[in-house]
Amino acid sequence: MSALNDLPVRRNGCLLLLKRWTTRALLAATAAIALGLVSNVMPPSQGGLSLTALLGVSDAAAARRGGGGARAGGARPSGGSVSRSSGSMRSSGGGAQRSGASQRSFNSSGQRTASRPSQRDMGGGQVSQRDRQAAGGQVSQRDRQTASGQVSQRDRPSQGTSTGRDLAAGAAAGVAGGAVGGALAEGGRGEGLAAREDRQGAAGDRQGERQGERTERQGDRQDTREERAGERTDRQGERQDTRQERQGERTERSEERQQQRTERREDWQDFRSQSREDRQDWMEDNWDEIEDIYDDDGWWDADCDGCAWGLAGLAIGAAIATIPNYYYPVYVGGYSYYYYGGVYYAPAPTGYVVVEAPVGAVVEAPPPECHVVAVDAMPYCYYQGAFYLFDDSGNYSVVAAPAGALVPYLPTGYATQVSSTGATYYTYNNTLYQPVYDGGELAYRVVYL
Amino acid sequence: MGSRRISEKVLRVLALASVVAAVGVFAQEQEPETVASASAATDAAAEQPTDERRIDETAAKYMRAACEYLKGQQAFSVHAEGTLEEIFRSGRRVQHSRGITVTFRRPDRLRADVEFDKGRREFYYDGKSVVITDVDAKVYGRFDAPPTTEAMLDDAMARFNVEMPLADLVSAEPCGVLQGNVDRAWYLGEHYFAGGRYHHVLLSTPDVDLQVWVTGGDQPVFRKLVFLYRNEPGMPQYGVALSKWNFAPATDETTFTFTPRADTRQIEFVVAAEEPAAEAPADAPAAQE
Repeated sequence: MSALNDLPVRRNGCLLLLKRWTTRALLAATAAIALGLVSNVMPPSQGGLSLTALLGVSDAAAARRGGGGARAGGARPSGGSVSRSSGSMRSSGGGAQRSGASQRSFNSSGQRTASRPSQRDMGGGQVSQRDRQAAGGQVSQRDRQTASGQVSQRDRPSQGTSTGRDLAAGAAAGVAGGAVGGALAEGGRGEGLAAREDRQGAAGDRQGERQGERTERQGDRQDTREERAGERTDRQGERQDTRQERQGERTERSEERQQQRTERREDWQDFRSQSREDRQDWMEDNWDEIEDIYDDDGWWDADCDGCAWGLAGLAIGAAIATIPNYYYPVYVGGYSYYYYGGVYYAPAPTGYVVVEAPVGAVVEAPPPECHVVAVDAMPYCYYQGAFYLFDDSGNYSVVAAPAGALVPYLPTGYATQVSSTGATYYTYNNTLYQPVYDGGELAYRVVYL
Repeated sequence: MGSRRISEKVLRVLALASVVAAVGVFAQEQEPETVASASAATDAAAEQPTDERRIDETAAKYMRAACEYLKGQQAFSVHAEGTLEEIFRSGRRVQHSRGITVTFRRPDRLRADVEFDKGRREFYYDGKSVVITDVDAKVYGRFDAPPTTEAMLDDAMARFNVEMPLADLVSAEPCGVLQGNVDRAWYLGEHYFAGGRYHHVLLSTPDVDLQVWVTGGDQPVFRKLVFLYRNEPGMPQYGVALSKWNFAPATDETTFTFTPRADTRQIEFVVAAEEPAAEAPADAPAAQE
């Protein structure tokens, strides 16, 4: 109230004082409206709230100047400033608490809650109040303002309430405030302000809705991101596990290979030192079975380096009318063969044709005149270009020619090839044989390309 | 039972026959009643019970004469027809043969021509290298060799597991290799063989029984040898008939020097105890069916 003492009332009388107050009130109202627009445009989280708080300070100052925010011409809830703090509104100066006639509030998640209780006008006209606007004892107005004096208040948050009686008391307490309130309530200008505030309120509602939707979408995206992150983490974990498993498997395989190499070398050395005994043992171990199958007639002892008999096989492609009575059926790769004595027969349009030993064929016994050769400590039984290996099932399988095998003779039907340097090689059934001297005997070594 | 094993044994025992016979003969002549004490220079002999050795004096005499005569010759050639016996598990027997002609000149020349089921094979030693060639296969192999026959035989066996045909016959001490192994010797009399009559001797070792037909006179030579491998399955035999002894063979450097024919290719020797090569040489052609 000390400010009033400085006013020109002392010189020009009450009329001049009223005129000046009216002008100030109008200026304050304009400023409040402008700030209210800014506040509406800006979401609370982005500064609107803080601007409103600033206005509250201004309201208090104006109320002090206006003698408590009294309203002329009717009880208007002006005079009391509207301070927003934690959703409560209190009047300052005149103490008029603001009525929460129409309140909309936003919950903590941004959802807007609305309640629209009507508030009866206390004076000549009702003024929609905007809680953030108060100048010169005016009540800040917000939301919709109707010409009939209905006030729709919007406050964010609006837990505090005020009654019309409180507002009337506030109006009586401040003449200047009442004068300003009456001025605002009058004429079309007041209606325009109410319409603008309605639009602002609607825009605020839409903005709130959009904000809510954005928040929802953000929430959804956040959830999706979190889900994806979780899935990525799971996949990374799975990949890591897989990598570790593979690494472990590789390590195990490497160790196994190394161990096998070591064992093969040791076996090879052992085998080399005892090769003759092993050959003898092999024949002794297998002879009974071989003899059972082939009878004891017509077959010579095996492992005869110097022997050429018994080695003359039937030429590949030779056509015959009948096959031996005691043939053994063999199926390889969907094809049928008939096996006997190291010779494989395939059905032909007129009888049978002699074919090469098919790799993968499994027979009960190799031909008894096969020659035992050792490769990496593994004994193979060689006969006419075919290598038989004893398998776990107790049978003998035809396997691919092992590199390094030294065989005492070439299979019937081999082909001769001379290399670019003049070296002679022999081929048979996709296997390359290199002639060498082994212990003074001519032998043929299987080589890989 | 491997024929290679038999073949090698045949060759070894062929030489052994001379040695053993000679040892037995020598021992009997020196100490007729205690043959073992004469040949007890080896540990093997010391292990044998002396009371089981019975060496006939006549048998020892003829064996020692043939061995010493051979040892004293600076050069000779001889032809051998060998018969190797293979045996069925059922006990049936089959024979196959090979012919060997050896030409030898001390101290560093040797030539052997072999013909057998696989074709013709020739051995050459000229004091510098050894060549083995399979004539029909048109291949040959060569490796450097020591300057004496005795060293060459050892080197070839050590490096390449190569054993020359009738190698012990050309050894500097053909009678010294298997001393002490003979524990029984009998003189069986003069028996007919191939148009002539020869002193027939039976020698026995723990593993082999050896029959020898040996000539008498100024040139005592072996004419026939039969080996029985008593500890092998089926007890196979190997027999060799020696003929065409010539102690003044007509030889020159071409006899012991190999000259490859135009269509003959050189191949390598597999080093003894080497691990099989898994990769083809760089010049190897692609395999064709």
